[in-house]
Amino acid sequence: MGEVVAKGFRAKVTRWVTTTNHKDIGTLYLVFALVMFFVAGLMALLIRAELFQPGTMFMHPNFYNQMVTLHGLVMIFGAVMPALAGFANWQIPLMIGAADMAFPRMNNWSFWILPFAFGLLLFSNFAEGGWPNFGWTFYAPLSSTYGPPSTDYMILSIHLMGISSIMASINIIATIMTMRAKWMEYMDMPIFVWSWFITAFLLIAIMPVLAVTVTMLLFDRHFGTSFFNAAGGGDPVLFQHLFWFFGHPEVYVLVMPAFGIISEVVPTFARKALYGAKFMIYAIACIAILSFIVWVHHMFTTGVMAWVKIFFMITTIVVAVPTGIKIFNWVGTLWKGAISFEPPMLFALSFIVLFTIGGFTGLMLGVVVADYQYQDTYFVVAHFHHTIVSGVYFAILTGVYYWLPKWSGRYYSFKLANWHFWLSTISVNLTFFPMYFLGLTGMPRRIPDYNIQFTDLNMLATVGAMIFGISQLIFLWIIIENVFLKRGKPATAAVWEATKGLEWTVPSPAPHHTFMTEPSPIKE
Amino acid sequence: MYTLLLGSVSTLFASYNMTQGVTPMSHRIYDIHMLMFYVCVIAGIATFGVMFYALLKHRKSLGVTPAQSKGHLALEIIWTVVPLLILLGLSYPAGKILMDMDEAKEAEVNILVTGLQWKWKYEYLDHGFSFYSNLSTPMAQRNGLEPKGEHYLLEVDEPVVVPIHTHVRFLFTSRDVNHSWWVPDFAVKVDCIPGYINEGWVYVEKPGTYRGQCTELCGMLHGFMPIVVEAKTQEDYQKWLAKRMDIVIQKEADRVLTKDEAMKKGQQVYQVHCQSCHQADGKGMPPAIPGMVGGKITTGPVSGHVDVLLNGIKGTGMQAFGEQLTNEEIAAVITYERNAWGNDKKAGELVQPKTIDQARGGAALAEPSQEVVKPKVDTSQWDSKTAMAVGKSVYDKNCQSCHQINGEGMPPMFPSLKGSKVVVGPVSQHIQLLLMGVKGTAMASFAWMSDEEIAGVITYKRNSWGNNEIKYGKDAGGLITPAEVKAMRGAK
Repeated sequence: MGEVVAKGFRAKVTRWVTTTNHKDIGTLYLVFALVMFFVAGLMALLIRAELFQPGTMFMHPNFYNQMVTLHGLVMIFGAVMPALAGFANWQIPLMIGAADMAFPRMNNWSFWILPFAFGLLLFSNFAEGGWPNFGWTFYAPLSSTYGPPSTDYMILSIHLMGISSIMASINIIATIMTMRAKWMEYMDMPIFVWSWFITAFLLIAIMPVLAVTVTMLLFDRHFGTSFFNAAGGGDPVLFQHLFWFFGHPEVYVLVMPAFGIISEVVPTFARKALYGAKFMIYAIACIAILSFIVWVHHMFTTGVMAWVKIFFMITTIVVAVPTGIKIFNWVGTLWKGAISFEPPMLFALSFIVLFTIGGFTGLMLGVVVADYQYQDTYFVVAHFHHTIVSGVYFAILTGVYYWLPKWSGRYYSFKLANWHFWLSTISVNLTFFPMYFLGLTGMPRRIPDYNIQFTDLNMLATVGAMIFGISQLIFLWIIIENVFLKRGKPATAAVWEATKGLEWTVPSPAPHHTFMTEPSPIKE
Repeated sequence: MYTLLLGSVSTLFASYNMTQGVTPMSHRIYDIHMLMFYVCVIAGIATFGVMFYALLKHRKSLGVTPAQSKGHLALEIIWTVVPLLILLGLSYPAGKILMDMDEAKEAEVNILVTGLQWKWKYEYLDHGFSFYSNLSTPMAQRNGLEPKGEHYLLEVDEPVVVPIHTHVRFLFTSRDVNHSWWVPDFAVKVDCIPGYINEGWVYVEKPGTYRGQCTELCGMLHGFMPIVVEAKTQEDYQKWLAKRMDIVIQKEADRVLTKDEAMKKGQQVYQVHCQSCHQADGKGMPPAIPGMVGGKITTGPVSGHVDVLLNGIKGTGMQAFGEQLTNEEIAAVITYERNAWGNDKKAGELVQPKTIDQARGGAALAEPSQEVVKPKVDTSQWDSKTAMAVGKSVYDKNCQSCHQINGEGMPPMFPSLKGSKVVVGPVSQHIQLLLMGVKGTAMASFAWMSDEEIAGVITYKRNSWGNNEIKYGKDAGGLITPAEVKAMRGAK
């Protein structure tokens, strides 16, 4: 079976729309994520531009709220999750010696729902009142009684994303459970596969909760129910319980595949086996379980009982233990290795440091009484952007720089990638470090204008954000040059000096169909 | 020299750190914040120290051969158990502060804070008066036409005032969406949620002005609803209280406005309450916020315009101003809107406070002629007609916002008065309730009202919405006289 050759525009479109090949679908996911990343990134830059100075710069407060809402929704559901799903599609079959995913047609569908889901969301601006404007957390009653008509488009869009995620998760679980090479036991699976295996279960558990929540919202809006409406006997706090029961595990859904990527890359460039590999798997499982019993830490100021707060404070700060295990084991992997600093390794190391800082501030946020001073301020904004941008996004970059030569068959320019790394790492800190201090000195989040005392730090953050945004164009160029212009030195099958695993046994670029017959175990 | 340098560095840090605040609780919270910070710094230095040592010494370029170690069980156990113990240890002091905070104290001042889009309402429950607190930063500063002041966006037309060295209990609720009341210097951040009443305690140690903001996204102008608290000495607080009570007792005069007066006053009201959405030029921001220039409402019938102002438009950003503004303010702003921006060509009416007063009575009460709804009623002849008229006017001003025009309240927060135990029960208990209020709820004491007013409003409640002797037995209904109220005051 050779490469699929499609001639003519129509044939090309048909090929990509009807493909059931895991590599094609992985590519589609990744390209879609890249587009959404730039869309939502542009929104973030608009937000930062408005906040450059106090006073109304160029944005109306309502438009500001719409940007805040869409930036969050599109980044989480449109950029980060599809990017990670792209990695899963490309890598899981390659890493476990499977010919494809377990349900190739469902796989096609779970991707092709997404453009429609985001079409609905992004084009809802044409509804009267424009885009949703209540933050990605869409708290009732702001989104129920007071939400603009476009809220209904958002609800439908979230339903579609949920269906897509659940199908993708079922596919991943089925693939891992049934399509592994026969000799591969669960504990032999690469850690990236393990991380997605657990993440997929997490997704199946939480996505229905989100679906229920948005359905209740829809009923409150149009069918006269009062689930979240106090005047009708409902409970606005119930919304927050439901949302965060989904929402907290959701952030671990983003982080755990990132852990998986980092755990693949660090051993390769330290030329050492992953330290405490078993414990790394236990730690991910442990984080997944804990993620279901920490959600109230998002709601410490809603007036829940003191003892409930203490319970959730303890569970929250205990998450630091398995997270610590992961960080210590990465450091353990580096210890006495033979470390080299190729672009994926640089991003992985940056991830370890910056994600840990995000984790530390998460610990501070978990302490109830101190949380009263941090909650809903820029301290929180800094915390989760440190974990999601310099955490998950950096891990995605790590993964792309690591596997891209395998996917395209060509090396990219290390020089440009190094520039991308240094500019990103410096500017990401220039953007988010000042925000901790903004929060501590009293600036609430989600405000379009602020008191003059916050000017200096906001300026710094905006300058950082602009540099960060522009630096990502380097990344875009690297991808275009490598994938579309087909420039670059041909890559070997192993790609990197010390790679281990089944994906490195196939040629680069990986042929359209791999492992049509079961591969034999790799000899150590 | 070094101490000087050290001093200036620490001031610099302090200016970028959490405030220590002015209450015993805020000091303790600051301490736990710093404790957590130092724990994280130490853990960070240890972890990153080892990591960077490895990055420097164990590089391939130095020609090292990688070790073959794959893990170490004892090490794994150590770095699981040690952090666990440290973390559980840290949760103890935090939990202790939380439990101390949660402890109920004897409150000397009770203030109900209601968040609404996009202002705060403060109700002094012990004294039965309330006021709204709006952003007072001029639009010109926001648009960059005037230089920004020191307290840009952190200043209000009327701050909430508390005495120092006193346990002040704040109760928090909301009338529309979620808000959150945060004053960093008090370390109090409590969500205001419709249907809920949350609690927060403040014991201020130092007089001064303390500023904060809403911290829960509550719609378009979330960033423009600041909080200003003035903490005064007991003596100054009492003075302020006395002055404030005078304003409450003053009756709104049944004034007739001239067009110039109405336009001038109307413009002022417009700038505070309308301009942020509908813009200074009245053009709004279609489609979310309709323009007023030649608009359907502003150049349509006056009655429709009044209705929108009083009751708002459900499901949109247009809120009900009925109880936020006086009749005079509403009349003035309507006059302004119907005469400004060229609307005088199509509309141009002068609307009087009386019209608004009549509209408030509305169709909900089909009874007597509009005449008796006027606040000034001759009470020398105390008969049921007089009592009902006085009662209705008092009810509309003081009770309706919670218990609603139809007496059904908003359960569970504000009980219904229809057939309620108190309203159809013995008269003495009903009077008692009004004089004393109900502790721990939003029901304030109304002892500051005159005997006539209390007698009137009780009579009104006991004879409206189907509350009567026929339905509920001999305790219900009845005409209550001012003398009965006076006697109860003595009994207390």
